[in-house]
Amino acid sequence: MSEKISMDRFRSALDNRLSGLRPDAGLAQRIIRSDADEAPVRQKSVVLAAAVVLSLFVLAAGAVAAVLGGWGILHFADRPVGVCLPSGSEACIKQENLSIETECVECTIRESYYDGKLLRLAAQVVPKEQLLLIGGDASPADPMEEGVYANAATGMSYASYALENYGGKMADISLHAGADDVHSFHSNGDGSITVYTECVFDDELPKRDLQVKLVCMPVLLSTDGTAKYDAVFRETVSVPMTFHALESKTYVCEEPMLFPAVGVRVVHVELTATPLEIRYAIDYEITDLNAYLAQNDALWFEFIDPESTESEYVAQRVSEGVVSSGSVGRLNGAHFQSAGVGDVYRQTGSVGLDAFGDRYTIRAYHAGNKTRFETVTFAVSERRQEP
Amino acid sequence: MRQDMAPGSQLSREKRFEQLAQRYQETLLRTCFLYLCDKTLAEDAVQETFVKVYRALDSFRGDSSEKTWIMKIAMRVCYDMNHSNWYRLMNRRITPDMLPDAAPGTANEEDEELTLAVMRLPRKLREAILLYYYQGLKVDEIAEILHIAHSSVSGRLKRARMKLKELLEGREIDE
Repeated sequence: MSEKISMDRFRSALDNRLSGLRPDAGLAQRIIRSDADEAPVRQKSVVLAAAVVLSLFVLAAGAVAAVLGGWGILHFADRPVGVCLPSGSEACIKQENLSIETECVECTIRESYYDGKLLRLAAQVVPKEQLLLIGGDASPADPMEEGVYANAATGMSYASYALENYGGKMADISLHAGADDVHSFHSNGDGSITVYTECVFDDELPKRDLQVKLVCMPVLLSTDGTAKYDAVFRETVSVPMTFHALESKTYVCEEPMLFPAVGVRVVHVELTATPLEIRYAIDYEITDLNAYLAQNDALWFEFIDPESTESEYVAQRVSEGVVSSGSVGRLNGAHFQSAGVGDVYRQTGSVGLDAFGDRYTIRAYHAGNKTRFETVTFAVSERRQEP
Repeated sequence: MRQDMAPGSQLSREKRFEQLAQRYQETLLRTCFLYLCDKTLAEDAVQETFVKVYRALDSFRGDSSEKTWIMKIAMRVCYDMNHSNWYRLMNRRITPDMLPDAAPGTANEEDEELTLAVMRLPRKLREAILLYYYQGLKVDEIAEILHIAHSSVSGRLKRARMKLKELLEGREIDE
């Protein structure tokens, strides 16, 4: 069992180690005075010559990375710690072969996965010329991570790597299917990258017609390392795609569950068993404002195995699902409105298919200080689809 | 001097600003340091942030918490510094000697290891970790600060935890 670092411990570690950083006691007064005088507060204290130490890395372009083979959806899905993909997962990945071309790259959408609400896409992108491709939510200044561009020197940014090996030519590639896309990418070691997109839609549809967009944004790199996106040569190519949902079943619990210690009542739980995971939504209503506010917005429900013999709370949880997001949002009112009795929040996320059953157990806890509260086991029944 | 404010309200504005600076300056300095990995730059970022805060104080309507508002400005300032010409040429290798001396008797080896691991995270993951675990902001608030989808914040936090687990050789930040 690995050691866990609590949020409080995390914060105190940083505060302890950075205790020597003392704020400038006169700053506020100086700002007030300088605003009145319309004068600069003080000159920027950066001394370029002292700060600039350019790391030199000599890497032959041809020896960028070992050939890792083309990645697919399951490679990306498999990455989060604690995720256990069900056997036969490959069967739910649909092979596609849809090409999109821009001036700079050739893109082939190779795989899709759609369960009615969640869409995953994987596409291979090959540059047409000597061009370093990045994707996901990477930016040119980010350090190259191991595994993305294997063998890249630690600490080297994409931009400096492109300057060294690609004559300063690079482009940012992204594949979009909806507003809430989550992106990732992997270098295949042969100059191509696999881009991955995951999108959770608000509504559930058995068939979805979409315009999938490939955006290729050249990055302009100066010899001094400056990078900016070249909006003029940004290319967006849209292709229509239709996705048919894999079979999934939805299970619900409408019986209210009381969690008085945290001031809420769970009013609705919905679990959708898809071929890769169980997506869930837990709706809860505030019943006791003081008890709820005492949680400082850190209330979270965890799915646990009630028969677990593990002593650590975290180890009592069921396995995680593949969905890369888990979140809490307010169903009524604006996010920044003060909470009140009767307000309803929804927690969404996913758990592994190995937890599938007709009964589930959830436990309330404070995600900040890790205090655990009530545990409730509930039964679910399948929701029949309207004909 | 702004001519459109009565002396009384100007005084109150100054007082309000001083209180904000007192409340957030220290933690903001540490956050900017962890973001920019440079003490001088962090000091500049804090100064720049508070200049913007002071000038925009009257237009702050309280749509978000003041902490979210200030962090939003600070992240923008840090982002701009991060994208400045010369920052890109800095040696990005994170070493212990980049850290300022800790106050005597406050920090141990583990504190240093964790601090360095955070500084070694890719920028986007570092932003998410700092705002969530260090500043204690909610996912919704972070999404607003960074102008990204709620699910992207959760995804970044998840990846950041995984990356920290690697950097800390198996130890991980609890969710």
